[in-house]
Amino acid sequence: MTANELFKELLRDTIFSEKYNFSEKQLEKMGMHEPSKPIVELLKLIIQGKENNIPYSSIYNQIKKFQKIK
Amino acid sequence: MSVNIINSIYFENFYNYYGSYENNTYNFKEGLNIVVADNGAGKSKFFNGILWLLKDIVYDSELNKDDKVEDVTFKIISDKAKDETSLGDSVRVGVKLSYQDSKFEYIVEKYFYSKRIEEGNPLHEKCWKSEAIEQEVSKRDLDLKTFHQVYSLEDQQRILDNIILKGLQPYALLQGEEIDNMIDFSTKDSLDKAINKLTNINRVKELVELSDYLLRRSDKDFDSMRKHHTKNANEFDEKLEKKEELVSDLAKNEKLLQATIDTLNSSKEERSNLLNSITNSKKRSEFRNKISEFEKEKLILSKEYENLLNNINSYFFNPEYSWLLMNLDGEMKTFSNIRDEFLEKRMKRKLRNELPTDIFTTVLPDGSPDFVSLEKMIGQEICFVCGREAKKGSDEWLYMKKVKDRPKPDLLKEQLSKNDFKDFFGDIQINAQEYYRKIIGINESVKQLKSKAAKYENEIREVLKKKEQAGEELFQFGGSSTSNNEKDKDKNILESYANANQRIGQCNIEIVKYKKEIDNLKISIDNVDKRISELGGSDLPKEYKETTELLTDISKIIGNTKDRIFSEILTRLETNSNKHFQNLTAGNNVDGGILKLSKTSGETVILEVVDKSGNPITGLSEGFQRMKKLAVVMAIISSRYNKQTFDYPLIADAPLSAFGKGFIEGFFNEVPNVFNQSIILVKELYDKERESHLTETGERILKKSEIGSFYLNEIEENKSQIERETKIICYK
Repeated sequence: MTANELFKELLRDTIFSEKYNFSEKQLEKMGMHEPSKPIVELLKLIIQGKENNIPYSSIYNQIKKFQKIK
Repeated sequence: MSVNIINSIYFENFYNYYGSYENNTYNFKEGLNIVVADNGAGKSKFFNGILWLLKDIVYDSELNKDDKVEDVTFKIISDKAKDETSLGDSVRVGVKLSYQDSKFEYIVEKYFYSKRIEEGNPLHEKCWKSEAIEQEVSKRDLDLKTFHQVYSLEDQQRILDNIILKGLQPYALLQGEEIDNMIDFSTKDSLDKAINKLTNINRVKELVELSDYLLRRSDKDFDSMRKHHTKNANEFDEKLEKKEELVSDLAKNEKLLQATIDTLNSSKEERSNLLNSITNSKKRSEFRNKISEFEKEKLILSKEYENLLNNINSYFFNPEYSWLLMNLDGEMKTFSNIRDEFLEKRMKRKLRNELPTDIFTTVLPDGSPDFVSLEKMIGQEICFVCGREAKKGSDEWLYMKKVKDRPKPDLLKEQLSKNDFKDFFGDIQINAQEYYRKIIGINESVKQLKSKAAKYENEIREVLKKKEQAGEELFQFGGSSTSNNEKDKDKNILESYANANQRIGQCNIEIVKYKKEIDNLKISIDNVDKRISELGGSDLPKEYKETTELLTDISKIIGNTKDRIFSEILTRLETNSNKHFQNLTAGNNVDGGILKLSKTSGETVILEVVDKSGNPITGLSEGFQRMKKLAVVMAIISSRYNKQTFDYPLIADAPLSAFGKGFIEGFFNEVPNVFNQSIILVKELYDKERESHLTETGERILKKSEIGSFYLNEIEENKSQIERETKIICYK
């Protein structure tokens, strides 16, 4: 399973349409490289971080940076 | 990812593979490759060659342990090569393998030289000195012809490791009973491990772990920020402390719950396995009793048969049978003819001596028929000799009267010459009469005895056949007619079964208790959390809350996805397991049932065998149990994400001996559906009595189109070990 396949699997969760109002079409077209809402961006950070064997603490720092937490 | 195919394997003076690589070469293709060999003809040695290349070990079947090749170099040299090597000369021992992936072909070789350093028995280790083991690897681009040496040890190792990846070797290198170790259903996480190893579900599980970590960190930062902004630091600290205490208690209880669920599952699994064992042990006992009965029956029949054969002598001398007189019936006729001739001559002489003409003479011996009988015959007007009617006054009646009134023998004797043998011969004829009847019956009594002996032989054969059948059925239920420990083992099963039941009851009580405790703790944590939020103040930067909420959702998404993928895998796994199970067991008359996979609350997968109505089936034979495991492994391989076959060759040494006869064809039919290449070393297809040295099944399999190659290993049995060498015959 590639990172992209994993990402697509995760996007199948109903929370994206029910809570974050993504349409089925949007979810279908969504890729790892196109910008999107924070929930999707954080998910990408996590998948890529794991894919590249980045330490957990560094991934958390990247999330903080993305969320503009000092 | 490309598929690896083994092209060739070569042996040089390796165990029974005497001689150079050229004489000991197997060329394999994609698909099913079979090497048929009787015991001692090189199956396990072949497998050891693979083990040497992949793991630097060989398996010692006598001591049932793995040895490092560097420690046993002397043992693996061909005895014949040892014998033919002169003092001061060296023998080269090696294994070479060629394989390819989508881009390159590789040749890997491990070898060493061993020098004979002493005269004397070449089979003594002290006469030999081995050099260090060398390793050579070369590769070529599939579009080019030339192989290039690979010098970097790291690259060499990578190429060696890539033949079959280490993590997948337990599913690709099978040696006899090892099928049992592929998945141990009595270990709670064994099936999970196999699924994780052969699928990508682990990647999602790793994300679950990462997202939990991120949420904990974010939660902690959030709490710390709230503490910073609170107007009531004391209460905040107190509530935070309380929350940490509650979270710690929750973690403890969740851990205890998990441990109890694990114990429950393993106890259930143990009970289920024991249930199989109970049924099996009952069956084993039933068949052991049957075998014992047949043995007794055979003993009685053999004794009776032996007595019959031992008593044959008595038939010769027993007056009832008189076999001593066998074939003398012709002699009796000859005697009677000679006597008739004698009487005729005697009559002529009597006439010459002018005996009174009215003297009655008869060919009957004197005194027969006797006077009383003749009187009765005359009175009743019937001839007792021939049974015909003789009416008074008729010729026959008058003749009987004439016989009755014949002169007394003494009178006639006086009138004839002295030394007259008429009476003597008559006596012989009368006395021999009784034996004559016996002689006629001898052939019949011989026939009867022969048929009695044949009956015994048939009965003994029949009993032995039944005993053999019972033995086979005993084996099907995991038993052996020669094992003495089985009775004790069967006795322990009941005790363990009762213990497992007791544990299950206890666990169920504890699970309810922990769940209740966990629910209460969660409510308490929520309440404390609410108060912490209230105390946190209103000027809190929103990014903290937002990040925690996003990470909470991500954690849920990843958790749900893991469950969904796992559930989908299980469904695929169950469907494919059943497909493989049905095909693998197709050669059996017994219904093996349906495989059912279910996930327990403890993240463990449980495998059950059920009937069409969903009721558990117990008491399946060992053959079925092993096929069940193989079916699940095949299903795990064929249920992988976007991949339905195995990328590495399956190499199996004597896998069928662990399965039983009824599964042979099913195995060979099904293996190519899952493994791109398989090399199966097998003895069950060998039959030295047939011209091809293959069983009927073997000949049938040889004709199949899926067969990549088919080899037969032969060894000359009448030769001593020191002269033995494996001859490789290529059938396809």
